[in-house]
Amino acid sequence: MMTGLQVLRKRVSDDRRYKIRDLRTALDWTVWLYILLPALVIGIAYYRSWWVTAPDWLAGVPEQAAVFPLFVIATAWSFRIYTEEADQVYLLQNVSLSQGLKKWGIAHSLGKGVIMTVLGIGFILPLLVTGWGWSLERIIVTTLFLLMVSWNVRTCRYFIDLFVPSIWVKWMPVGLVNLLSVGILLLMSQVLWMYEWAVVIGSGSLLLLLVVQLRVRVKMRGTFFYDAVIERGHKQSITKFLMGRVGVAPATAIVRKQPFLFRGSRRIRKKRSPEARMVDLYTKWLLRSVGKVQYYLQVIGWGTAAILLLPLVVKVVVLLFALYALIGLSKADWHEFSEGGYAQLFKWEPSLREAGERALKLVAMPCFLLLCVVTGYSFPGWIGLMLFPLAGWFVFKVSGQLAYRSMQTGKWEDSKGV
Amino acid sequence: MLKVAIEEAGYEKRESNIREIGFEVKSGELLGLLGSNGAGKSTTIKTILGLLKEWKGSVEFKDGTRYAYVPELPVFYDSLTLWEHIEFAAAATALADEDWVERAQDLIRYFQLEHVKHHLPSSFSKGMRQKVMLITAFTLRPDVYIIDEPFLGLDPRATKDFLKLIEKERARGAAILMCTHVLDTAERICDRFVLLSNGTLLAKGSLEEMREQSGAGSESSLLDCVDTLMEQR
Repeated sequence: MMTGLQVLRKRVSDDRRYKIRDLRTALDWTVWLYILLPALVIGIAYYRSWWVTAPDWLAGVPEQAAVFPLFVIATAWSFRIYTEEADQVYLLQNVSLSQGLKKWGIAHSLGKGVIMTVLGIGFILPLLVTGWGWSLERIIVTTLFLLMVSWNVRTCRYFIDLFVPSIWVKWMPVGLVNLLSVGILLLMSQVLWMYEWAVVIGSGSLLLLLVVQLRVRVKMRGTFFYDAVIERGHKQSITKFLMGRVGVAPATAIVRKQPFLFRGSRRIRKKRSPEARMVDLYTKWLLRSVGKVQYYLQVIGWGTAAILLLPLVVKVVVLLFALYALIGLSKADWHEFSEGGYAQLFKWEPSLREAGERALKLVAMPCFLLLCVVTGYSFPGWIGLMLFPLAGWFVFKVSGQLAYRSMQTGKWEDSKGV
Repeated sequence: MLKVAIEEAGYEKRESNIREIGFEVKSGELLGLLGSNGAGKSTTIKTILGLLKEWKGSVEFKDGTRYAYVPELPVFYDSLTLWEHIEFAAAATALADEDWVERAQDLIRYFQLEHVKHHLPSSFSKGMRQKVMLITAFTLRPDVYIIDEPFLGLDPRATKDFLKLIEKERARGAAILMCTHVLDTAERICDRFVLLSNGTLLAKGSLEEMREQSGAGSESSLLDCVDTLMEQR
């Protein structure tokens, strides 16, 4: 018979295999050869040089800023107890095995916290030593608190995931915990590290808080399905990172009964033609899908930052990339909507093909025009503000039509009905 | 209304899952598509719907015929409500509001889902999801219904309501192709049967004809006929 530790080992190795497989699909040899390996070599060279002399740019950075990368790296792990849905068949009946798995899962998670904390400190260490001249004592105290904070933050984050399923509400407690933790780290690493009483009381309190959280978790009952859902989310984290929410099973234990937008099946437009109704439904479907909206916002966010920060010629290149990305996103979304399992149940009327073209413009065009305005604004003189939105509108119209034609000759037209 | 003559069909090239299957569904007729697990019922339905690439033969709907398909496992959009799913179906088939809104509301009441009309079907129970599929199909009032295992998850009351509606639709002239394992109900409601086994047509005809083909007695049930036919094979 297997022990809790053996079950954990098996699950950790399965999880690793699953993630490596996901990474392999995304990172082929060209990505390794042209991006990752050169980045690694350059990164190591920089890191080595930091041990010799501090980089020039560090002079303009206050030492308090060290806390932020430290916090980000040290908390880049997750609290997991490796519960799987299939455990309800057998594992749950065996109390000692399921408790064993839970305890070893917690221990394994805390171990990951130690590794990430050491990595975080190791990464910033040359800057702390050669750049800001931190003493050994200060570094040790900071590492100790970084570890305590890391453990507490991730455990607390687990409880938030457990009790606050809505991603719209979740950011508030998560933000609060992060803010509080960064505050504690700042205080300890800047001032209180010099006082023994502060170090003892501070670390003791954080350790006590961790013990309380862990005891609560070990004793908690009735969270099986929530744990299974959280675990599924962790297992698919690489897929989610690489592909957004495409192909990722929804990680929520509480199922939303009503949509948060356009409740009561309210129509957006008054027009009642089938085409208008289909575009209406597509709009609702898209705007209610957080993951999809997030993609468009990301393109706008990164696009705006790149346009504002990069040289003039590159701005236009970024704008064209954004156009390509937005049209690609819209095409993929319309394809998903019009080729979904439910859509396949009916024989579509040919007149509805026009809905595809309208759907393509619906979200992508305003996003692109916004980026055109930003580009126009960042060009010298007022002419840019006039020219870019106008040119952008024309370019989008032409590209949209071309993209739509490619959809028309593809799978969409052939797959409807018999 | 629907004439099927499949020579062969499958999911991969040169790998046919079903062969030589032919039948016809007439107006006002209810045809039961029977067979054990893996017999080829779902593949036959997918071929009729044009969802398979690899197939030979012909599937003919009478000119201007509209169909509605009720799948075995309900499919939905995660972020559209029950009402919006019906609206989607109506828009896809280009129905004007006056042709579907009232009927959809009646059907929602009939299947007792009025309190969740604006809820997301992803939050529904198995039976409720199945009801949504049926409501969508009946709202469209198609000429041909293709229904795969309609009784799964339905409670006795909903099953009875569904059968009543089926009768009404037949009286209207709709043709119905129904795939099911519930043989006692099929025996009661179907006019004719098509029995598949290992991807081929084993027998077809009315209950009387099935009795003759199987050699079972004149009083034997559909289950007895199917059982005997399968054993003979």
